Amino acid sequence: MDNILIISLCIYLLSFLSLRKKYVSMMLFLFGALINILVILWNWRFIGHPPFGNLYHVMVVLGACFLPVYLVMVVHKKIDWLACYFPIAAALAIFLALILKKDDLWHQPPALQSIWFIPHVVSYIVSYSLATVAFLLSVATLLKKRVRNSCEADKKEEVSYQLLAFAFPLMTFGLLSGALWADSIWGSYWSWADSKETWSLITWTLYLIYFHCRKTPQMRRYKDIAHVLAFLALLTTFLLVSLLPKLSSSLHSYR
Amino acid sequence: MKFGICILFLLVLFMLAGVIPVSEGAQTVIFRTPVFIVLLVLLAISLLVCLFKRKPKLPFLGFHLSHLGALLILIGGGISYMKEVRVSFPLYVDEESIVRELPLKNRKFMDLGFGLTLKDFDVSRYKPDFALYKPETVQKVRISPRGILDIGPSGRFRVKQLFEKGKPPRYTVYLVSETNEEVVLVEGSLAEQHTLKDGYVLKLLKPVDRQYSAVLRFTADDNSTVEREMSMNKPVDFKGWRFYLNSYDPQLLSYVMVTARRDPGRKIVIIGIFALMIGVAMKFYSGDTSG
Repeated sequence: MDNILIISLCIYLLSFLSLRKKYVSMMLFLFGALINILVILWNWRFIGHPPFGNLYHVMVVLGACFLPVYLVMVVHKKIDWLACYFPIAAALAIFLALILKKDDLWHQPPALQSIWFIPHVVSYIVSYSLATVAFLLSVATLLKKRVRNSCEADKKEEVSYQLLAFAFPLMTFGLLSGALWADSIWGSYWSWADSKETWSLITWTLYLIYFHCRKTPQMRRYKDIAHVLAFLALLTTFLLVSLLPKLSSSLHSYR
Repeated sequence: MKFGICILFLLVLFMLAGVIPVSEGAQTVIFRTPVFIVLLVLLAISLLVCLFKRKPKLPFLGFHLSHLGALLILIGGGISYMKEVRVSFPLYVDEESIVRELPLKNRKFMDLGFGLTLKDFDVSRYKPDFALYKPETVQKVRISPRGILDIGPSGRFRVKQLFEKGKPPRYTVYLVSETNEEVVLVEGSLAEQHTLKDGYVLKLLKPVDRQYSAVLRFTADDNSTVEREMSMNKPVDFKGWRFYLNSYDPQLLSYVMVTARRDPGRKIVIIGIFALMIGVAMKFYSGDTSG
C-alpha cells in the first residue's frame, strides 16, 4: 500500500505542476484522489472498521478530502482559480501519512463504537483541510502584497475568509459532538486533563477571535495574527499532540 | 465586541498555560483558579450583553442562537461545577452484593435511594493477532476473515478461543494441513509462542476487547426490581442517576468499574451545545454578514 500511496502523492504533485493546463491538472487531481480512495477502502477492509482510529489512517483520509471540498467550493463559491492549493495540500497529507508509523492491526475499541465516531472525525478532517488551504492562500496573499501591492490580494483574502467561514461550523460540530460523545462514554462532556480536547478548544477559540477581529473595525489589523496563531494551534492539535509523548492525550489514545 | 475578543484571548492564554506538560502531567489546576472562573463569568456577561444589544430578528437568528448556546453551556457548566455528584466504584458479579450507598471524596456516604446489583456481565474480544518474529525482523499478522492465519512457507493456522467466567481466556492454535486436517500446535492462555520450522517464532498477542456489557438490577425500597442493560456508549438512567460502564476486572471478570453521576446542569449544557452548533451553522451558511 505504501507504493500505491507514493503513486497518489506523485500524481497530486503533477496536478499542482501542470496547473497551466487546467483540464490536465483537474484530471490528474481526480486520478490521484481515486487512488487515495482505493487505499482508504483497502485499509477499511483490512482492519474491518472505518479507518479513522490512528493518525496514519486519518492522514490518508485527509488527503482524499481535498478534491470533494474543492468541488464544493467551485460549485458554491465559483472559485475554481483556487485549484493550485488543493493538490499541494493533499500531497502534504499523503507525504505525512507515508512517514508516520503504521498501525495495520488497529482494532476499534468499545469507546469508539458510537454514532458520533464517524461524524466527529470526518467533520474535523474536512474543516482542518479547508483551514489548511485557507492558510496557504493567506501566505500566498501576504507574499503577493509584499512583492506588488495588488488589489487581487484583497480578493484572495476574501476567499480565504470564505473558506474559513465554510470550515468553522464543521469545526464547531466536531468540537461539540466530541463533548456529547464523551458525555455518553465517561459521564463528562469536558476534561481539561485531556490535552487533545484543550488544544482543539484553543484552535476553535483562536478562529473565533479571527472572525470577531475581522468584524470589529478597531481590531481588524489583528485578524492575520489571529489566523496564523489559529493555524499553528491547528497543527499542534492535529499532529503534535498525537506525535509528542509529553503532549499526548490519555483519552484520545486508544492503544 | 472588543471586550469579548480580549476575554477570549485571555482564556486562550490560560488554556495554553493549562496544557504545558510538567512532570506529573499538565497544569490543569489552573482551570480551577478563581481568575479563570472570573474570566468565564465575564465571558457569560459579554454574551448576555451581545444578546440584548441586537434586536431578535429572523435574519439574525443564527447570531442569537449561537450566543445563547454558548451562554447556556457556561451556565450549565457552572451548575455542574457546583452541584454535580460523580462517583466511580467497583460493582461485583454477585447477586447478593447490593450497593445502596456511594462513597464520596470526603469519607462520607450518599444514599442512592435504591439498591444496585450487577446481575450479569459479558465481554467479547476480537480474534487474536499474532506477531511473527525472526532475527532483525518483526512482522505482525492478523487472522483472516475466514479464520485462517496464512503465513506462507510457515504454514496455515486456525485459532479457537474459549471464555469461561471466572477463568482466564484460553486459546488453541491448530496447524491446518492441505487436506484441512487440524493438529493442535499450542494450547493455553495469553502470550503463548511457538517456534516454527523455518526459524520464525509465532507469538499470540494480547487480545483486544470488542465490547463489554453488564445487566444492572435496581431494587426499590418496596423490593420491586428493574433490570437494565448497560455497555460502553450506552449508559443507564434511573431515578435521576446516570450509570456508566468504564472498565472491568481483566483477569477473572469478577467486577466492573461503574461511574454514577447526578448532574443538574447536564441538560442545560446539552441544549446549549445543540443551540451553538445550529446557531453557528445558520450564521455562516445563511449568508448573514452581520457582526
